[in-house]
Amino acid sequence: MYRVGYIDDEPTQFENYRRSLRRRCKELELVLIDDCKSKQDILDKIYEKQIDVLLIDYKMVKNYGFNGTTLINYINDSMRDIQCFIMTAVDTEQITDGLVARRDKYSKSIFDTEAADQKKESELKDFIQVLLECAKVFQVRRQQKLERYRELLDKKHRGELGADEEEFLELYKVLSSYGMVEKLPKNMLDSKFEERLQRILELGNAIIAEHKME
Amino acid sequence: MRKQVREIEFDVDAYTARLIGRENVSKLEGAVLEIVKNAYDADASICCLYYSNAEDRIYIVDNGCGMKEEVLRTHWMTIGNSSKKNAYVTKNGRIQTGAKGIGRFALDRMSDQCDMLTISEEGGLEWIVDWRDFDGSKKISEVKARVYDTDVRLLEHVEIESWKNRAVAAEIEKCGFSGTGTAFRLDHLHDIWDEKTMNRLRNHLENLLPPDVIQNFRIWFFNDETSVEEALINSANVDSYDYRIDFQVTADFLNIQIIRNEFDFRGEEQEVYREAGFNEQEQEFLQGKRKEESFTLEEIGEKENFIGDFEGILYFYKISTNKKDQERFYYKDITGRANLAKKFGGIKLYRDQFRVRPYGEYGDNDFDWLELSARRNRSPAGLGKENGNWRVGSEQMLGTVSISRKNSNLEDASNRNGIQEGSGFSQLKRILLFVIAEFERDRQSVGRKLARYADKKDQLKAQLERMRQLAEERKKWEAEQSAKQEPEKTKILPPAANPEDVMNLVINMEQKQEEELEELRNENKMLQTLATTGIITNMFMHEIRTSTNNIGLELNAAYEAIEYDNDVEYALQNILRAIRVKKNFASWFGITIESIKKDKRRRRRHNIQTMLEQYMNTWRDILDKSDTALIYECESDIELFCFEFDIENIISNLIANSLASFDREMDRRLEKREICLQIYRRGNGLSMNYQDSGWGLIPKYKKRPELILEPFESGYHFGEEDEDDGTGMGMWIVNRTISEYNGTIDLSNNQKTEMGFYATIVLGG
Repeated sequence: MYRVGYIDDEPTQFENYRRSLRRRCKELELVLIDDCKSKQDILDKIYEKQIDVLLIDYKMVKNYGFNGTTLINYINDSMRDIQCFIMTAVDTEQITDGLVARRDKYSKSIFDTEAADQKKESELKDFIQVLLECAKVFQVRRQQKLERYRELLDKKHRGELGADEEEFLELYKVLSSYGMVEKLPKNMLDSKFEERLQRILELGNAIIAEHKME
Repeated sequence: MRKQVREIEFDVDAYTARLIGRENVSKLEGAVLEIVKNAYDADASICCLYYSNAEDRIYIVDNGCGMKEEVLRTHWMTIGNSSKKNAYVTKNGRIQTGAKGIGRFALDRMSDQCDMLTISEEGGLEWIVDWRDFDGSKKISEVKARVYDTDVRLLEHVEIESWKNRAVAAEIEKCGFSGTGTAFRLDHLHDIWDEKTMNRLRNHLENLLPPDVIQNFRIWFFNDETSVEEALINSANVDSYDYRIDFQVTADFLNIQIIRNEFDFRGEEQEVYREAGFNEQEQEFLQGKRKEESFTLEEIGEKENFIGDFEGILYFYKISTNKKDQERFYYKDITGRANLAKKFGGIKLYRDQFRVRPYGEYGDNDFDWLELSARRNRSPAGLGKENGNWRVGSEQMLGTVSISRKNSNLEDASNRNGIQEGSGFSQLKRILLFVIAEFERDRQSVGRKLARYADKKDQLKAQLERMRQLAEERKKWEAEQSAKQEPEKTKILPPAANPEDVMNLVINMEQKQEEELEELRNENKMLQTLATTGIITNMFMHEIRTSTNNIGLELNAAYEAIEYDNDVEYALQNILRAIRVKKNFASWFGITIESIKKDKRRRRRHNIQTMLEQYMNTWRDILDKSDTALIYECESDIELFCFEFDIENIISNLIANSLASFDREMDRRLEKREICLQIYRRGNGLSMNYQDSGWGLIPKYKKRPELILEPFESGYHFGEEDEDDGTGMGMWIVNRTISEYNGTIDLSNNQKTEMGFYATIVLGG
């Protein structure tokens, strides 16, 4: 099952979209991202709800102070791999801020199949295929990240992380947010942690050895 | 398995190399420009080009620094490699203008054979090439130029002793060619160097350098017949002008100085100043004092300076005027003025003192590179017009804009024809248009005052004429009366029209004229109302489309709920929601379609409170849906003779602007969405206080909010991709309507506050 996040400051159509999607693709679940006040709140909710692909309303200034395109820019700064689509009631050409490519903008009316009109149905199905594909790609990439993370974690344990520390922390942030790796206490993320642990172990060994001598 | 490594050099066919050169220097003017540029870049103070008619040969000589053998070998002989690419400031501080290493192909453009002598500190070298060697199938590395060491002097190389034009030769001999420099003899010329060509090139050279460079760089250009006076090129200059506008862009500031030189009050200064309403400061400007203005780039709608510092001087130069305008606007006499644009060119661009062709070149497509003509066509208003912006014509604006190779984002196009299009060049054009608009505003502010004064004078004149006629008639009547008292000599009366018929005829004609005028006024009002309807519809396009979509989505969802899930209850909810959405449409129609109802198109005495009641309630409904509070108060005893839709247009446009401001994306959420409109009685008219809690005017209008009243003023121009966020018509319509009611609009509060929009409007009274 893949989770499609839906962000809209007035989500009156959410339930209709959710049902429409579910009828046509059992693998996709539409999930509402709501009760957020800021971009960071939204980002946290995306992690929390384990979202694989996003549908974002364009005009959200009234309730959020920013538009959907600005939000995508923000989300992609933290999560490069997640695919976001703009959903708009106006013509996609009217969104001229240049923040989102044309192919990533869709009209909300794509969900209106006009009582099983063949052409409309086919457009919606194509769109759903795109969503599914993007969600799958995101999961595969996350899996790859997990493998790389494990590799780096090994290095960390060996105290050989060096220049890869930044990458390790970034991977940890994304993967732990998605619950794919165990959350570590903050001090364990410190680059000096392994060193200190080693020292404590050595001290412990020395004390044990001393006791044995006695 | 790999074996025997070999490295093979790239090479280029000699003919292709020549073609590349020719592509870059395709016109003779361009070739001459390159030759002069090379002399300038070599720190020369003189560059001399002589066409010998007798020999059909060209001699070129300059007294620059010459080339050493190493420079000749590694730069001059290496296509595309220029010594000026990195180190581009000369010993004497000139900024070199070439950089692509293709300037030498100018010589190829001019002739087949070239014999060059170059004398540097290290001594003289003679370099001979026949460009025809580049033809055929040779590789470029197989084409050779011959180089000799030589002790020949520059003037010997150009055989000055044998020049047929002795007078100019004598002058050149005095010029100091005894030291370093470069000289060419060009044979087998490609062009016919007749008088027409000479004149064309002379005009080109006159415009090559801006006037102030002439002191340290002189160009001589002549043939066998040219006189000494004509041979020395004088830079084309503007010595008479109507307006001079100097401007400088320095970091994030734009400074403009405007000098008025157009008006001559012919001894009536004091009367004109007083009657036309020029205050003391204005009077000083009319007497030639520089009017200085300063703006930050943000204030002119630019986010940041992409291109760096630059400056320029522009001149407004009328070519013609008629007697009526000359009297009305007190223009100075411009009889005999020639079309200077033909000789001087339009607005020319100079990079490090050298002309960047073809901008401003008369007859070229890029003569009007700022598209002033199109701008004027969009706003064809005359100088004295109260509602409408006067725009300058492309042939009336001359001048120079100076940029440097230090400027960023203004690179030369690789074909040496202009500047590369892009964000930098667009910004340059926008800033120039802002400077020009400032001048236009200044000139029109004077023109409007003078036109009002002239109209006032005309009325007085008409009244005087009427009095004179009445006096004449009275005299005639008295004479007739006294004649009547004399005994009747004859019964025959002269034929005359029945006075009653004449009176009726005049009344009918006046009525007809008034009806026609009224019809035109109504038509105009109708168009303004339709424009406002368009603006409002556009404003609510998102909401209208959302509602339309939602009705479709709800109905489709209802269909699917029954068809696939047999969920009748859910389908019912869908249908009920669709009905609710449909109701929203009624409010929008109330504002848009209802506004052009026939009964609103009749001017009559209205009680404003009653007239606006329904209309404001409709707005309240609409605003409520977008979570915007409307605080509206109107005194009950305001009566105004007006068109209903005039008052509605003003309010609709103000509200539309507020909503656009509420929806502007900023770095935070807007705390409050509130619109407040209070209407009071004021004399025989009314006063409207309007304010909103939006983000306020954008910086471009903050300093001078009255600019928003001009037509086509709208939104941001920050980037090329950004489109205007409005039509630029709304506030112009408001302003027009206000002036039709002899009213005023005060936007000055916007200068004092960071947030919110404020307007005080007075109508009638």
